[in-house]
Amino acid sequence: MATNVLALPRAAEPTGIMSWITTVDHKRIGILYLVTAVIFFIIGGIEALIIRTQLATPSSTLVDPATYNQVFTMHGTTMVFLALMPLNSGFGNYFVPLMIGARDMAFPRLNSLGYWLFLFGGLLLYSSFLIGGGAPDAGWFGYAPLSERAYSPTHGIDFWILSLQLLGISSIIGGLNFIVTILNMRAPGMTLNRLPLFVWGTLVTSLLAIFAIPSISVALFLLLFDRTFATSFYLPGGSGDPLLWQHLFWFFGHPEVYIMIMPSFGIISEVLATNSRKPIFGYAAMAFAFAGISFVSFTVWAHHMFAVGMSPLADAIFAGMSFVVGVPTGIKIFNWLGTIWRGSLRVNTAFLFAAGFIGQFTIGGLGGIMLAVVPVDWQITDTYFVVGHFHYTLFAGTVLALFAGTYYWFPKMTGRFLNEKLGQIHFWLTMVGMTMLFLTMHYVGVLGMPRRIYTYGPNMGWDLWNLIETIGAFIVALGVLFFIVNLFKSMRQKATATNDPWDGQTLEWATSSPPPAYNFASMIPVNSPRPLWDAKYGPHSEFASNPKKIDLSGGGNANVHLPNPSIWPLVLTIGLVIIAIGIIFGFNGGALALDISSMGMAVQSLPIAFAGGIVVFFIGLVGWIAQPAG
Amino acid sequence: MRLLWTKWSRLCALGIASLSLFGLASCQSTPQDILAPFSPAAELTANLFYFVFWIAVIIFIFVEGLLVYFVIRYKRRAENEHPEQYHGNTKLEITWTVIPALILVVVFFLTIRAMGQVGPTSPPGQGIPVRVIGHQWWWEVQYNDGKVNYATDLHIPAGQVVNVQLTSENVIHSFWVPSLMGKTDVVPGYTNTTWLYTDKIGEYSGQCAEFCGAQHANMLFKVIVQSPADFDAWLKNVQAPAEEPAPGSQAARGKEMFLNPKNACIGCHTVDGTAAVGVTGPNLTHVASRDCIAGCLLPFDHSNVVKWLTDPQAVKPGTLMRIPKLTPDEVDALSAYMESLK
Amino acid sequence: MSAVGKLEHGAHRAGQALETVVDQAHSQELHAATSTGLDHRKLVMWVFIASETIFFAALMATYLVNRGKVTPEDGPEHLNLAVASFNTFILLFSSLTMVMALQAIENAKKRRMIFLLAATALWGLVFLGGQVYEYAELIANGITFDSNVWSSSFFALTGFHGTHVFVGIIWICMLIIRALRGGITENNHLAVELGGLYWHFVDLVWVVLFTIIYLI
Repeated sequence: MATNVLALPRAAEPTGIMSWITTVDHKRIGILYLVTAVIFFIIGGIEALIIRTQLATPSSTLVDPATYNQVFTMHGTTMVFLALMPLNSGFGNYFVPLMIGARDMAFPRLNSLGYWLFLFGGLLLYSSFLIGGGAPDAGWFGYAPLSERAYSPTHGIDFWILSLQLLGISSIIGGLNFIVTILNMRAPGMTLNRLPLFVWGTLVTSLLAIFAIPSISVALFLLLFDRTFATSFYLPGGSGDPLLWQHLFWFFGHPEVYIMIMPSFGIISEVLATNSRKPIFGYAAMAFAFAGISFVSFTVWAHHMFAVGMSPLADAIFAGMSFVVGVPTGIKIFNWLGTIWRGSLRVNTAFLFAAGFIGQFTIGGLGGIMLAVVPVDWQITDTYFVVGHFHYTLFAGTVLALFAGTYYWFPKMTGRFLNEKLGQIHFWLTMVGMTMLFLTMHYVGVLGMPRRIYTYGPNMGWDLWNLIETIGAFIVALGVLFFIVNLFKSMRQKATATNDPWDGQTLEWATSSPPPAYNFASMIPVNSPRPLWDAKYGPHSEFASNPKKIDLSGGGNANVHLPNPSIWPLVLTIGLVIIAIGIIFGFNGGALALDISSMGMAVQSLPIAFAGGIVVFFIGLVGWIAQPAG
Repeated sequence: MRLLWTKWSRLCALGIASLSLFGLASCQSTPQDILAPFSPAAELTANLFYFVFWIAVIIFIFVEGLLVYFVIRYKRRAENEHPEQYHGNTKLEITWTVIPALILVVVFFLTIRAMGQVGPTSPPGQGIPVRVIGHQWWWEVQYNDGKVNYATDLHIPAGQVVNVQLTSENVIHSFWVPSLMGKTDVVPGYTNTTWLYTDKIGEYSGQCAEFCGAQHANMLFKVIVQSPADFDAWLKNVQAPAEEPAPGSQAARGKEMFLNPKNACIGCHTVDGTAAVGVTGPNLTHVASRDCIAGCLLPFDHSNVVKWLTDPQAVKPGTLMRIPKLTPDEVDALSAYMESLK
Repeated sequence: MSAVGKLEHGAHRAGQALETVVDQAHSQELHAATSTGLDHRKLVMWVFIASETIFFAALMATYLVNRGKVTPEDGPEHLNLAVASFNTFILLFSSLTMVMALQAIENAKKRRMIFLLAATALWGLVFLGGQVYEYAELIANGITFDSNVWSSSFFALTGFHGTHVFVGIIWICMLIIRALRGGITENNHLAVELGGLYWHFVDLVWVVLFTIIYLI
């Protein structure tokens, strides 16, 4: 059945730091994404704990308001752009090619460029604490005019703008690469209606990214012009319009939440189907729901703006479209329930997180419906109800799915199992902690607590609930600690995972754990969304007690030509970062003088740095073009 | 079985614990509870909230029930179990597409209807016009086309519609009195409108609901609903020019300090009838008649005025209020003047 | 040569042949053709262009909301319709030479292609020259980037477009260099097609810009 391809001479798999820096292997890039994003996730989590500790008691003075505003801005920005999006990209990088039976991504060097832009975008953002005179402080959606220079005079927002531009380029590049990979590199027989749902999720996320991100790019450019070249795009004093920012931002911002959750929907589908020993219930409806939610997500952005004074007609239209999102979301929830219905459920940590996802994400969805009821929204928007709601979609949604995915795929990526006992402690701590944390937020929002306040009076009736939330936050953090310990502990164990430890259905389980650099030496025919299951149990998927053993890894003997490693993506990125720093310091007339006194000569030479950045960028570009792709 | 029992008893204990917490918390007053409405608009919104909330609860219980039941019922019992390979069920799938869609249509209809009843742009009539201006970080209140210029307390008469015009000269704020009315953003460059109506006399707390910088948390205000007679009396008082302190009194000394440019008060503040005509800070002509100061963070009384004038940055870090370091004696004089501005 | 030796030699030759294919579409060894039949690079170009449309759409929306906020003498009246029309004509003409360049290489006429690519780049430069002229005229009339929201939107929109034209010119120059060094042949001219796709897109954007800025 399996057809072997020609064996070609190939160097042994390289090791050492340089091999990671120059790698173009989708699996290594995936691991780089995951490890970096987990570090940012922990940093964002520490920021969350600072917020929660400050709010644990009324009239707290743990941090001053200026610091608090920087911390919550960085918490949001970090979690969205530096943790959840790249974690999805990490799993996507690692598993999309494996699941569609490809050897790599379509553009391995672009893939590496995407990673370096992500890493350096993150570093640039965090360097604002040290060299920007303070971190950005206008919230993760940086509403103008608060984000204008008159109201946020430090360089924090400039760093925020430039690093988001780099991260945006990274996401667009990643999106382009995923789209081409998924459309073009599927194994023979894997039609679009046989794509594993995680691949569907990644495809849809990528489409959302390439259509949504240009909108925030433009918004950020205009803000940069306002701050740097004295234009007034968002300044009413110069007949600009603060609401222009909100429209441009949310045209990106709403699809963005689906960018963060679509791959998670995919992960949940994979974990549930495999651990139920059943196919996805209503596969076609699931795929259509992916497409439907993402399409509609471009038509609902102004439901973030019901209170800005739009016309009642506009409010009604955006509310109506928001209700429409509820239907495909409901279809997903019920199809997941259908998937485990009458299954044979292996209740391990991955499954628990997936089941927990269904239970908790439902709250996020229902809260979303409540927020789309415009008069109710007028009361609860910008309160902790909203904070609770989107944490139920992004934490109970994306983060739980990412945990599920980690427990599910860790054996594939490392050859080692994560410890089940620690995993279940992690799960229960997360469930209890997040309920105390986020469900309580809904309630305290109903009690009228606005979001983004650094303190509150003891007479508001919010103190007990805030204390419960803070305790919940530390319980969640404790769970994450168990998770990290589990990762380290498991990595030091013997590699005992087989190719297919969970009786999987999709192609990633048909090769060794971890897979060889070339992924597969041969391919099995694909006739359904679960080719491996068909191959093991026969074309009609009747369960046999003695499934066929499938191993497409070639037993370590396959020699396959692989693309050359490349340093140029990194060089190009460094060029862009230098340009960004040059823009931040080099073109800010008034603010420059201030910096010279505090930072000396280094600042005066920044326009030179800008020019130098362009040179480095072009060296990278020419080197890239001159290097043969193969 | 025994294990299951322990699990249940633990759950019960947890439930009792959370109930008692609830009891504990319910002793506290919650002045901004949106489900404790004091106006027809807030009441209608609260009812709508409850309606959608209970639908959500029913769906939630249904989903969680199925989930928990399935996980327990279909847990793998033998390593070689053979579940039947269902790929879907068209009837079921149509059902769970159509039923939620119908529920949402109903909710959408109720939404539209309620918008017409409580929407900020659909007031139940024309009444007293009031202009509210968002500053960093306090609320300015104007009556009679700006002839009456007040801060922090919004006095309104009971049983009359109050049409509120909202503007900002700086960043975006949001005007919100949870017990009376939902939010309307205060957007620079726009004049948004909303309205207030209640027949319940009392004080209702409000708060800026759009992040607006360092002291967003302390951009508070009060809506004081009075009987029409009391309201008229109040309005009459605040229309009068400032009271002149008795010559030689502590307050007179304070007034001198206030008007001395060295102390920088008059750059930002106005007291009608004096040389102080600054406009960036609150108008102080009748500051002593206000309930609160410092963006409504502190109730108006002697000790708080002293606290505020001694070191505003310590009270509200980041506040735009600047005052030179005064001796306790000077602070006493200045606060005596403030307290005289009834 | 023994039979085994011949077989080994044959396998080696086949391997080399395959490696050439792999060089063109690396990591495609499992199934040589792409699933859609489109080359990766062509597909990515189309998707990239789709993404770019949103970028320009956002800028155009900004321009349109700000257009009515100034009086004609604050900006719009100083626009030079003649120069812009000339520029439009030049850019459309450059699209024609780009099409002809692709046709030339398809017919194995490499020198003709290089000539036509050079002409396209030149038209691009003329276009930029026209734009610089118009900018200079506006600035001479006191209308700069920060004068008002109309001028800011105008310079941002046309500036980003001009940057795209500039990138296109560099791209075409690189194609010419590559062709001169023998990297483009009648059997391997996808690069020209890709450059052409980008160039036509940038031209098309200009046509829309021209319409919303100068005509309506």
